[in-house]
Amino acid sequence: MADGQWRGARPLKSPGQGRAAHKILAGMAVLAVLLLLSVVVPLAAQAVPALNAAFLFGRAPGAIAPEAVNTVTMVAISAAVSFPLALLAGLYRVEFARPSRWTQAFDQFTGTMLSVPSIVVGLVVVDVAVVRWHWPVSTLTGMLALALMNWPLTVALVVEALQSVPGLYRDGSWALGASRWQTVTRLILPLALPQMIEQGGMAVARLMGETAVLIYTAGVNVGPGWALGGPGESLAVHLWLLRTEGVTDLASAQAAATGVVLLGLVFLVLWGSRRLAEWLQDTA
Amino acid sequence: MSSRRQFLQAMGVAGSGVLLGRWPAWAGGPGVRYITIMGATSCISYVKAVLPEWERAHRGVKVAVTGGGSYAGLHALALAQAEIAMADLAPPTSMAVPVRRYLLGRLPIVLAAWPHIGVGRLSWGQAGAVLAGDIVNWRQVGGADVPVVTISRPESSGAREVVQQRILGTRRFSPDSIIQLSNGAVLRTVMETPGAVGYLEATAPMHRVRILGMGSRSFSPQAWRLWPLYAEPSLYVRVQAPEEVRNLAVFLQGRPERQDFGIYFDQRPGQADAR
Amino acid sequence: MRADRIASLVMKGALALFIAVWVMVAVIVGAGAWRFVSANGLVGPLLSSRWSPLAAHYGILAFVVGSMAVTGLALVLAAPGVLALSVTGARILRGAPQRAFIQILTLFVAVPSVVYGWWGLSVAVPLIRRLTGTAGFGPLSAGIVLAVMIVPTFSIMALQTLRQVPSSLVEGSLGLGATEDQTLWHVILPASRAGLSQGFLVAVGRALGETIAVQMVIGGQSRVLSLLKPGATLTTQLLTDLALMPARTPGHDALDFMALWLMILMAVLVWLQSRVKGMSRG
Repeated sequence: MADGQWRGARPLKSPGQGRAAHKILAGMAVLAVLLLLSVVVPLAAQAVPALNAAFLFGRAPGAIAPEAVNTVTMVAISAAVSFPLALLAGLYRVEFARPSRWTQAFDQFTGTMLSVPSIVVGLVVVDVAVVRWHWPVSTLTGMLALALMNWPLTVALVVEALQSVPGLYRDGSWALGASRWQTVTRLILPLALPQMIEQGGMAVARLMGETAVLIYTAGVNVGPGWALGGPGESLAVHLWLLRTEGVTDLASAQAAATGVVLLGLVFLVLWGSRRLAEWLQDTA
Repeated sequence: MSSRRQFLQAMGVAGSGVLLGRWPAWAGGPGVRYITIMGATSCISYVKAVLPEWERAHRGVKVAVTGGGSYAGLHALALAQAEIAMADLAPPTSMAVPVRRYLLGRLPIVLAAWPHIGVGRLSWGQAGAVLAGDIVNWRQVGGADVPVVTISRPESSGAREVVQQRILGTRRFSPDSIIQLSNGAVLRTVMETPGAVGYLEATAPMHRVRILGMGSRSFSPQAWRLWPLYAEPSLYVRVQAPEEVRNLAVFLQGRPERQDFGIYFDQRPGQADAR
Repeated sequence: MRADRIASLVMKGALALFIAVWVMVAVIVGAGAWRFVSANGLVGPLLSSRWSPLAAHYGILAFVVGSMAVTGLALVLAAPGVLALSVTGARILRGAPQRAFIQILTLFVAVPSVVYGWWGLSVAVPLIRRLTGTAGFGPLSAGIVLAVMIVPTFSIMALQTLRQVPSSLVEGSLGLGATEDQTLWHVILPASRAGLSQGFLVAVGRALGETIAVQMVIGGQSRVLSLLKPGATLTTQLLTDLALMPARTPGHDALDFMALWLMILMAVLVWLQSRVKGMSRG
C-alpha cells in the first residue's frame, strides 16, 4: 500500500526494501493455491474417460442420473422446509426480541448446534426416525436429516444478515409511524435479502456435499424410480462408496466423474445465488 | 411470561413428535408396504440383482436393502427395524425372538494379498501369525522383502468372526490392521497397498489380487466344496412374519443367480429349517 | 397492531419449535450418555482404550486423543498456508485480482469433504507410504487431508480480518519509517488477533467434526496415538459402529456418550468464540 500512495512525503526507504517477508509469503501462497488445485484438477483429469452421455443421463446400471436426481430433490426440499422456519425464527430473534441474557444464550445455542458434527445428527435421526418411528431408509428420512442439520446454520445466517442492517433505519421507520411488521417486511428484509441469499447458497452447497449423515438415513442404493419411500443414495455418498470399494478401472474414473458432477452442481448453486444476490442489490 | 409458555408448548410438540411419530402413509402412496433387508454386505449385490424380478410380481411393496454387517442385521431383526436379516453368523443366544433360517449356501472366504509379495501359499499357522501381526515382513514366510500390512473389518462383520474362529482361535487381530467397512473396501485397499493382505468373501472378481492357498488347498470356484474356510450366509425372518416377507425369503433362497455372486450351493431345492 | 401481534406469535412459535427440536436432540443424546455413565462410570471409559463393544469394552480414550491429535496436526500444517494466503489476499493483491482470489478461495470452502477424502486416498496416503514405508493410513494422513480442507475456510476469515485493520494504523506505522514487513508483524497481525482467533476456532470446529474425509484415510483402530499407524477419531468411530449398534442395543449408549462429548467440545468452542468477539468489541 505504501510506495504508490506516498508521493508527497519522501520515502524513508527505497521502494521494495523491507518487503522480503511479503515476497516469501506470496511465494508460499502460490504453492498453497497449487496444492488446492491438486485436489480438483486431477479429479477432472481422471473423470474424462467416464464423462459421457450414457454415464450422465443413461438408464443403465452405473449411470449417475438417479443419484443426481436424489441429491437435487433431497437438498431442494430440505432447504425449502428449513429456510422459511429459520427465517421466521431469525426475524423474531433480531427484530422483535429485546436483547438480553436470553438472546445471547440463544446465539450460543444456535452456534453450538450448527457446529454439531453431521454424524451426530445422523445418529439422532437413525435413533428417532428409523428405530422409533420405523421409517425406512429412504429419501424422506434423508431429507429429515438434511433439514435438521441445515436449520441452525440457516438461523445463524438470517440473524447475521438482519444484524448487518443498521439500527438507524429502524428508528427512522418507526419515527415515521410504521409498525414493526411493516418495517420488517418493507424495509429490513429487502435490505438483508441479498446477503441471506448469498450465504444461503453456501448452506445449500454444504448440504449437497454432505455424506456422513446420509449413509444410514438415505442409504447406499437407488430404487427403480424416485420415491419418497425409496432408497436415496446421493452423489457424495456414491463418490465415497465408489472410491472406497469400486474395484474395476472404470470405478476410479466413475468416482472422479461423480465428483466432477457434484462439484459442478455445487459451483452452479454458488454462482446462481451470487448472481441472484447481485441482481437484487442492483434493483433494490 | 407468554414466551416461556410458548416454549414449553413447543417442547411438548417436539417431545410428543418424537414419541408418537410414524411413517407417513402418504409418503409412499396408497397401500404401499415396506420390507427392509439388512445385514451382511456380502449378500447385498446378489439381493439387489434379483430383487427387481420379485418387485415386478409384487407391486405395492417397496424393498430397501442396507448393509451394516451380520450383527447389525440380526439386531435390527430382533428390534423389528428390519423384516429380513442377512447374516453369516448364527443369531446370538441372547436373541429372544424366534426366527426362521433360510440357508443361501456356502460363501468361501479367502486370504487375498497384494500381487507382488512373492508368496502364494500359507500354512494355517502362518496365516494366523500374519493376521495377528506376529509376522511383519513377507521375507519371514519366504517371500519378497515387503512389510506386511493387514486389512481387517469391523466387529460387525461375519467374515471377521469366521476368520477369528477358524484361523486365529484365541489370538487377536493385529492392532495395526487397517479397518475397512465393507468387503469391497478391503479388496480395493489390498489392491492398492504394497504388502497388504486381508480376508475376503469371494463374491467379486478378484483378478488384481493374489488369492493365497491355505495349507495344501488352493481356491477354485469349481472345487468350492473342498475349500475349508467359508461362511454360511442365510436369511433370517421372524417366525410371525407376514406371508409376503416369507415369500420374499423363499424367492431369494431359490434363485440360482447367487452362484454368480460367490454363494455356492448344491443344485437341489434348498430347505428352510426352523430354529 | 394486529398484524404485529399475529406475526410476532408465528415467529415466536417458529423460534420456540427450533429451540425445542434441538433441545430434544441434546436430550436424546444426553439420555443415552446418562445411561452409559450410570452403567459404566464416567472416568473408566475415558481412561481406557480398549474398544470392543460386542464384548462390552467401551474405552474411548483412543478416539478422544485421536480427534485432538488429528485436529492439532491439521492446524499446525495449515498455519503457514493460511498466513501466506491471507496476507497475499489482503496486503499484496489489489482490485480485480484480489476479488478473483477471494472468489476462488470461497469455491474451495464449498468443495465437499468427500472430495478432499478422495484426494487423501489418491495422493496423501501413497505419499506417506512412500516416505515412511508404512501402510500410509493413520492420523498423519488424516491431519494432512484436514489441513488442506480447512485452509480455505481459515484463510478467508483471516483475510477479511487483515483487510479490516484500520488504515490509520498501517499508514502511521509506515509513516514512522517501519518497513512493510515490520508493519505486518508488529502492527497488522497483532491488531487482527481477535479475528484470527475467531477463524482459528471455526477451523478447529470444522476439523473436529469432520467424518468422511478422515474415515477414508485414518485406518480405523482404537489405538492411543501413533501418527503412522491406523487410528480413529470420535466421529469416524461413530460412523463405523452406528450400524453395529442401533438404538436399544446395549452398546448404543456408548455412541451417545461419544456424541455428547463432541457436542460439549463444540459448545466450548462456541463459548470461546463469543469471548473473542467480545474482546474485539471492547
